[in-house]
Amino acid sequence: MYNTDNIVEIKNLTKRYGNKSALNGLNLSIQKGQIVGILGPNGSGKTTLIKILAGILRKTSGEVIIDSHNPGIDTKAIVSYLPDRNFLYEWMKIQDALDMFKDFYDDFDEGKADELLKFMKLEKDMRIDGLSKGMKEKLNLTLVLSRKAKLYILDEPIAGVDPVARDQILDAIINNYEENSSMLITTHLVRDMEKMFDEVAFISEGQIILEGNAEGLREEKSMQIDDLYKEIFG
Amino acid sequence: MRKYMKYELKGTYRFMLAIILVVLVATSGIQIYTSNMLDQPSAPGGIFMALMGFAVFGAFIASIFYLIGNFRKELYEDRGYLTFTLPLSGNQILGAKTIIALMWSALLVISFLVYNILLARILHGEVIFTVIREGFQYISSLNLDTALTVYLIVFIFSVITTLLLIYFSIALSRVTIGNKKIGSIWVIVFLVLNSLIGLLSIKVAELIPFYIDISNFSIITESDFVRNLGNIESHIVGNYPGMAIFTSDMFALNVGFILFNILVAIGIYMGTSYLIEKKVDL
Repeated sequence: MYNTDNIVEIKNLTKRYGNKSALNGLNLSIQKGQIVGILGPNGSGKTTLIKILAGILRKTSGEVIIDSHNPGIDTKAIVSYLPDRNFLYEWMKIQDALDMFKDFYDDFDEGKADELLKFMKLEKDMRIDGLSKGMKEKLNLTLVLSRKAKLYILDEPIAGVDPVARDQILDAIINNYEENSSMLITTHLVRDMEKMFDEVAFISEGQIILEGNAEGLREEKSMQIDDLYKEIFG
Repeated sequence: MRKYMKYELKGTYRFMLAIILVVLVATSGIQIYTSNMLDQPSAPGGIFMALMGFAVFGAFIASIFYLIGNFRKELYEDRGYLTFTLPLSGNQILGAKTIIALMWSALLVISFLVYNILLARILHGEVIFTVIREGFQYISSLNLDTALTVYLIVFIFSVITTLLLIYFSIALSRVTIGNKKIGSIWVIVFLVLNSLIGLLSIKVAELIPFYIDISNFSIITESDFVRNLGNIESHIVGNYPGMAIFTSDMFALNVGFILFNILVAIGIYMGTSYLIEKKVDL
C-alpha cells in the first residue's frame, strides 16, 4: 500500500552498472507540496536516482512509484525534469523550444514562460547553439518552471554558473514553482540552496544516510545544513 | 506522433534540402557537360565530370548517414534527455523518425529523377520522352509490368526493413554495450542480423513450398510452375531459388518468404520500440 500523501515513494531501490552499485537499497518518500534537497558529493548516486525518477534510467530492483504510477509515459506528463546538461536540440531557436513544450505538455504555461524569459533576459529569436552555458541553464530552467507540473526534479540547477546567474536561477525557482507541487533538487552547493528546502536527505554510496525536516535538523544538530553536510562528507 | 514528426522535420530540413541542392547542381553539371562537350574530351572536363559524379554519390551517402545519425544521436547524445522525457511511447518516437527518414529518401530520389528528366527535356528536346516511352513499351512487350511493379513494392519494403534493422542494431548495441567509443559496433550487429535474416528467410521458403501467382493471386506449387514451363511461349525471366520464380507469363513469390519477412519487419519495429522505451539507459 502506498501513502496517497506522498508524490514519490521509493522502496529498496537498487541500480547496478555491472559489478558497481550506484544505488544500494535506497528508501525515500516525498510528501506532496514539499521541496526536498538530495544532498551528497559527486558519485553518491544523486543523478542516478533522479534519472530513474525521470524515466530515462532503468532500476535494477526495488520499487519506484510517482503519483501512483511506475516511471513511464504517464509520469513523464506530470514530472518536469531539469537535467544537469543542455538537453535542447542544437538546431532550435528559443521559440522552437517553447513551441515544443507547449505541444507536448498540457501543463505548459506560455504566459509564465514569457515572464521568465523576460526575467532571464532571453529573446525568443535567439539560437540555442549561440547561447552561453549560463544562458542555456536559464533557458532550461525557464522551460521546466513554466510547466504546472506535479513534481519538479532539478539536477544540480546552479552548478557551473556564475554568481549572478546563480542568484537569478535561485530567485526563479523560489518565485515560480507551483505551490501545490513538489520539488526534488540535487546539489552539492548546499550553502546557496539550503534555505529553500523543507526536507533534506543526505545520500552516500547509493543510500540515504540521514533525512529529515530541514529546520528540525538545524535545531537538533545546532548547525546549518551546510555545516552538517561538511561534517558528514568532510 | 504527428507533433513529434513536425520537430523531426524542422530539425532535418536544412541539411536534407542542402543535400538535394548539391545533387541537383552536380547532375546539372554532368548533363550540361555531356550535352555540349562530350565530343570534345579534355582532361579538365574529365576531372569536372569525376568531381560532379563524386558530389552526387557523396551527397547520397551523406544523406543516408545523416538520417541514421539522427536516430543514433538520440541514444548517445544529450538530446536524448529531451526526446526520452517527452510523454511519448517508443512506438511513436520510432514511427516518426522512420516516416521522416523515408520521406526524405523518397524526396531525394524523386527530385533527382524528375529534375533530370526535365533538364534532359530542356537540353535534348522531346526525344527524352520518346526514349522513356519506348523503354516502357519494351518492358510491356516482355510482359514484365506486373513483375516490375512487384519488384518495386519488394524494393520499397526492403528499404523500410533495412532502415528498421539499422535502427534495431543501433538500439541493441546501445542497450547491450552502451559505450559511446565503440558505438559503431552497430554496423557489425547489422551485418550479422541481416545475414541471419537472409539465411532464415531462405530456409523458411524451402519449408513452405507454396507460391503466390501475382497475376491472379492464386496459390501454386513448384510443380505448377514446372508445368507452365512446358508452354512453348513461356521462358524463364528470373529465378531466385526458394523465394521467387517468374517466367514471361507467371510471377510467383514464395508464401513463406513473404510471411517471414513481414513478420521480421514487424518484429524489429516492435523490438526497437521496446528497447528505446523500456531498456535504454541515458
